[in-house]
Order: sequence, then C-alpha cells, then structure tokens
Amino acid sequence: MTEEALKDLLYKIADDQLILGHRNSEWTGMGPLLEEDIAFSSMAQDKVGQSLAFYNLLHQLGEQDPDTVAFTRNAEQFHNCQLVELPSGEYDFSLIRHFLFDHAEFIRFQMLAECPIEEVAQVAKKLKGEVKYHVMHANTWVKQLSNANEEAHSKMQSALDYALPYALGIFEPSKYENDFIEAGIYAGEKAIETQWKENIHMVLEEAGLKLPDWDTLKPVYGGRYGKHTEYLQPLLSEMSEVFNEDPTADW
Amino acid sequence: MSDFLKSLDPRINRLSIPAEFGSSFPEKDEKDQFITYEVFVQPKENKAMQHEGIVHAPTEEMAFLFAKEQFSRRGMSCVGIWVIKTTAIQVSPITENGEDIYDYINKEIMEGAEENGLSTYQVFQLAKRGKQHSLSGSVEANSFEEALWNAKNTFADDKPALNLWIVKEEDILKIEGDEFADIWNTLPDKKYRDAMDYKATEKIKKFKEEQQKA
Amino acid sequence: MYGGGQVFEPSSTNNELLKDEDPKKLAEFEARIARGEKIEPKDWMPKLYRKQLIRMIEQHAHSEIIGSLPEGTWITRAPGFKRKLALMAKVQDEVGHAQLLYGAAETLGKSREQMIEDLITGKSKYSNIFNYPTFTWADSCFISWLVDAGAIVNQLANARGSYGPYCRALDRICAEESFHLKYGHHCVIHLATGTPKQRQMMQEAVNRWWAPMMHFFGPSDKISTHTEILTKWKVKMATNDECRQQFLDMYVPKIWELGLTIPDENLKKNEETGEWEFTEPDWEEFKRVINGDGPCNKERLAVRRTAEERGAWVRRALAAKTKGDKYVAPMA
Repeated sequence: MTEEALKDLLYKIADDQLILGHRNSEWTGMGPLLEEDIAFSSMAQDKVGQSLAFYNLLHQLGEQDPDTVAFTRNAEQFHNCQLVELPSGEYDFSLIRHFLFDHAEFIRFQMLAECPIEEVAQVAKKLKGEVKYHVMHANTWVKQLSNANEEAHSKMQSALDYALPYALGIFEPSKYENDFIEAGIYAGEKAIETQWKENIHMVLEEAGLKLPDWDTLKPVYGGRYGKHTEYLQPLLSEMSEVFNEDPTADW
Repeated sequence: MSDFLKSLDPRINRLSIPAEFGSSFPEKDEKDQFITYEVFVQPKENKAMQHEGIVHAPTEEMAFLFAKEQFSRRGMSCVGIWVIKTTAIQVSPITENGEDIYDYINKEIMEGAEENGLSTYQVFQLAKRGKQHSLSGSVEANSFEEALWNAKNTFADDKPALNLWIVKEEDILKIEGDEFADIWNTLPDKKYRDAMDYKATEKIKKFKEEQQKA
Repeated sequence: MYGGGQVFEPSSTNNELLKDEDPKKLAEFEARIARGEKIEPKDWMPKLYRKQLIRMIEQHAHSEIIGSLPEGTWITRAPGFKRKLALMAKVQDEVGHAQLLYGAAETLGKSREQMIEDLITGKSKYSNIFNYPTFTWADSCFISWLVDAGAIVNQLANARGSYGPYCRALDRICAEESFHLKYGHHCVIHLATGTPKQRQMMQEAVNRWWAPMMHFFGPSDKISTHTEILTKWKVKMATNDECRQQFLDMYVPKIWELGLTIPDENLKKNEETGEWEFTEPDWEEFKRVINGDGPCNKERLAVRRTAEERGAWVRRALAAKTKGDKYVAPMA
C-alpha cells in the first residue's frame, strides 16, 4: 500500500471528526438541558481532539502541521462526508447525526485498532474508549426520546429519514479500497457499512423507529473526493476567521 | 431594520431569533423538573467512592451519562461512577463535629422496622461538616434500621461519623469494572483542560528584555 | 464567574423575617458559625439566612449560564487547535458551574426549573458585566483572564462562608477557574507580545472592558445592621471595595508588564495607604445596565429564552418518562 493511500484514509477520518466536532460545539451554552449541554460539549471536544491526533499522524508522514492543515484549506480540499457539514439544525437532527456517525466510527476504530501500522493502531485503540461512551450516549438518547411521546417520536423519525442518505455517504469507497483490504489495514468501507447497518438496526428497533428498505436509498457521495454542500465553505471561513487575520502570528 | 436579532455570535445569527423577542415569557409547566440523582465517583482504585454532587435526569441511565461528563471530565483517572436516586437514600440525623452518630444508634431502632428480606446495603459516612460523604462499605440486613445497627457494629470503630447515608444495593446503578474502564482512558490526554498546560513566563521574560533594549 | 454588586438589599421585610426567630435556636446557629463549622441543609437556619443564600447562589448560577454567551460568541472562531479546544472546555465549564450552583441553591428549597424560569422571565438578575459585547477575539481573552480573575477573588472569599453545599460547589469551581485564569492569561500574553495588529486588538479590548471590570465588584457597600448580620453569619465574606482592591493589587501590575495601558489616568497605588486610587466608576451607567438598558441585555435574555424554547420538546418528552417519581431537593 502506498503512503498516498494511507494519507487519504487518515485525512477523511480527521476531517470528519473536525467538522462534526465543530458543528456540535455550536450547542455549547445553548443545549436543551444543562447536563446534556455539558455532555454534548465534551463529545464535541473529544471529536476535535481526535482529529488533532490524526492530523498529527499526517504531520509525521510529512503533511503540514495540524493548525495549517485544519485552518487554511478550502472546502474542496476537505475529505469529510457531507453528513458532518450539514447545519446542526434542531436537537433531533444533531442527535441522530451523532448516533449514525459514532456507530460507524466505533466499528472503524475497532478495525483500526488491529491495523498493522503501529502508530495508527495505537491511536485507534486509545480513542475507542471515548467513542464507546459516545455510542452509549447516542443509544440511550435515541431510545429514550423516540419512545417518549408522539411529538418526539415523529421528530426523531423525520430526522432519521433525512439523515440516512447522507450517513451512507460515510462509506463512500475510496479509490484505494482494495489496497487497504490487501494490506490488512482494515476491512474496507463496505465491511463497516454492513456491520453498521446491523448495529443501528438493533437500536432503532428498540427505539421504535423505522428503517427504510436500504435499496431505495441513494447514498450521498462526493465528500471523500472534495465535493461538498453549500454549507462547508462558510463553516471553514468562520472557523478560520481569526486565524487568517494573520496565519503566521502566534495566537 | 432587520427582522432578526443581529448578534456578534454567528451561531446566534443562524437561529434567526425575532428582533422583538417576546418581552414577556410564559411561565413553565412544573413537569420540566426531572428528579434528582446523587452522584458518587471513585477517582482511582485505592480511593473511596465519594459523593460529588447531583444531576437531574429522567432515568438512571441518563443520570449516568450526565454524571460522567459533569463529575469525571477532569483528573488523571476515574475507575467508577455510581448514581442513586435521591429518594432511595435513607439519611441518619446529623451530629456536631467531634461527636459520633454511632453513639446515638442503639438496638431499639430496629423495633417495628419493616423487614424486606435479607439484602445488601451500602453505607456512606460524613467525617466532618462541610466535607463529602464517602463509602465505608456494605452490610447485610433485613431492613434499613437493621442496616444502621449493623453499620454501627461494622464501622463504629473507624473514625467518628457525623451522618450516615444508607442505600440498598439494588437501587444503585454502578458503572465500573473492566467492562467500562476504557471510557475514561483518554482523561490524562485532556491537557487543554488543565492550568498546567498554559505556561508563558518565558514569553513575558523575552518580551520585557526586548522592551528594555528598545 | 461572578461579581458583587446587587446581592444584598436590606429591606423592612428582612427585618420582619428576623424578628420572630427562636432565640435559642438562633444562638446555637450563630455559635456553630462562630466555631467555624459549616451549616448543612438539614440544620435549622434563620429564614433570612435561607432567603439571602438562595438569592445569592441563584444569581451566581444565572451569571454562569449567561456568562457562557459572550465568550461563546467566539467558540466557532477560536484560532488554532489549542485555543479551539480550550475555549470549548472553558465555556462548557461555565455551564457546569451553573449546574453545580443551582444544585447548591436547590438544597435550600427552590427548584432549578423555578430559578431558570425566574431568570428568563427577568425576575432575577445576573452579573452586570455579561451585558457587554465581545467585538473581537481579544475581548473574549480579556474575559477569560480578567473577568475570571475578578470572579476568583470573589469566589475564594465566598468559599470560606458558612453554608456547606455552596462552599463545596465553590471549591470545585475555583479549581476549574485556575485553568480559565491561566488559559486567559496565556491568550492575552500571546496577543500583547505578538504582531502590531494583535497588540492593538488587545489594547482596544482593555480599553473597552476596563469600565465594566470596575463595575464588576459593585459600588461601595453601605454598612447597615443588615450587612453586619450577613457578615456575622458568614454569608457576606468581603466588601465590594475589598474585592476590588485585591483585584487591582494582583492584576494591574500583570497588565502593565505586558506594555498595555489602562484607560484611567488616575489609577495608581498610594504607597502610604497601600490602597489603589482610581477615577470613581460611573455608577449611573451601572444602574442603567442592571435595570435592563445595557448593550446586550436584550440579546442575552432572548438567546436564553430561545434555548429554552428549542429544548422544550426534549424536556417534555423526557419528563413523560418520569411519571410517578417526584422531585426532591439534593441532599448535600
């Protein structure tokens, strides 16, 4: 497997985490209840911290330092799936996105923890515990809200229906899929997707939410190749507003 | 004039809050108030489980999710959290500092106690006013009253206690042990939450030196 | 983050409250405080003590939750990973402090939802300083360092007070504030010793925030029998002037050493008295802002109300799960 391929993998993981962490931090101080405000903020911080760990791995592979990489690229240079860049919306959508994304990430980290590249395996092993809590959090919330009353159930179902095609975009195949599988880096996107469908199905069933027939859904692809929604560039411009007043300055 | 509140915070501008947001706000329904759970945290293996505060939550699973980030998001380690509904805790009277609550507990307290079969009860003690309750250990008993009496026989020889909390084992949600150890394993890496990570004396020194030269 | 100011208002009803207390119980209560022991929720306490503590802790809690907004203004724009993570954690801490403080006030018999309602309906107040805007990144750095520094002066004093649950909350809060203080100072040092543009940004923030900072501790206390009794009961631990002097003593030299100027030409330490002298703050403006006419009062409440409204369906749904369980106050 080439270094090019490895970088592609690390970039998409890091970009997903950074953008989702950034989006979720928008709730800090404005959450639906105090304790959840705190918990959701911690998970947003975890995500940004995770992205930093992966940008550091990239830096070791010769890419620029994490601040430069995160704060100076344009939208088309980002490899995140479109799911994470969508506006935070209301809490139903933010929760469902967190549920769908973290289930996928947990499987990804379980696989990468066995990766033959020691540095990657170490990071994945360590971060897996964080994501385990994220999944516990997501499962509990999705089940509690969806089973609570008519209003919440219907909001959660609509949010799920809206998010699912984007969530499938998490698993957009890379041009290096076969290289990863052959080198034993991880089992590839298709394998994560299959496992993910099983895992979320179990929780959603308990939550009383309906999954559509997967064949009727058209995955929203493009993000992994730099094709994004209208929402990513404004997000990036906002994120780097201060940093770019003087990128050479020490802030 | 804009119809929306114009803020310096881009997050708020995205919410499109009406510029004239109701000057009177409806009073809320009381039911928004969730019940209270007491939270106990064990920071490391050789330290006692200690009361840290409360969370309001609709269920004990959610109480745990909240407790973890409110009471264990800092520190070098955490090995377990217990959450207990406040109403499940039986409380003894509180004495003055220097007195021992066990001196006030005698066998008669068990008279007329409602027996519910043998269970495990966990006992928390307060060592001093202003401090927090910490776990002493457990006793087996048929009622809260018997648990209190057994606690006296088990723990009274330790340091004096001003106040006791007693809880039935089955009323405790315990998140601890090997199954959960890894959810806290990045705590030492969260250096950005720690004052130690913000040293800048060198920078000030250098700045002052340059000022003097100039 | 919390300052002094509008907490203690003697009124005739307060004197009424005190009149019919049991003299024996009152004497025991006062003796316990005199011995340096803490009062715990189940202890007997005078009605006036309970009332003043609820008022004080509640306003403190409101100040934390509202105080998360001016710094939160920069949460999506913090420059670089280190700042981004720190600011998220810092604003989160403020929300966490509100949670702790509401819990302490609840032990005295007022539910959190009632307190939050009193905040958003405008019945209770919060610290005046959060009614000012953060125009630039440097404004948020000023708050992180110096407003938190002022709050620490106040909170360390209150942590020596007599009410157990409040002291425990404050111990935890002060430990976290040490991160805020260091982080804020770190940010200000980087701006003040940075490029000319960064430096200018920082100086402008100091110019904007100095007056609100002087207001932060409140006007000089009027000494009355009322404040005397609250001092005796260790509810009020230091006068507004004492806190302001301590703040000036600790931080003015640190501001000056960064080559920043403070917009008050009369500010200097009188070496004979050891007291700082300064231009008397504009207390008319202070009153005006407290009474609702500051630059951001309207926005702060509108945002809090919006958060409340957007979260209402979530709380409604979850409350449906707790049927049969009745709310009780925290135990300690």
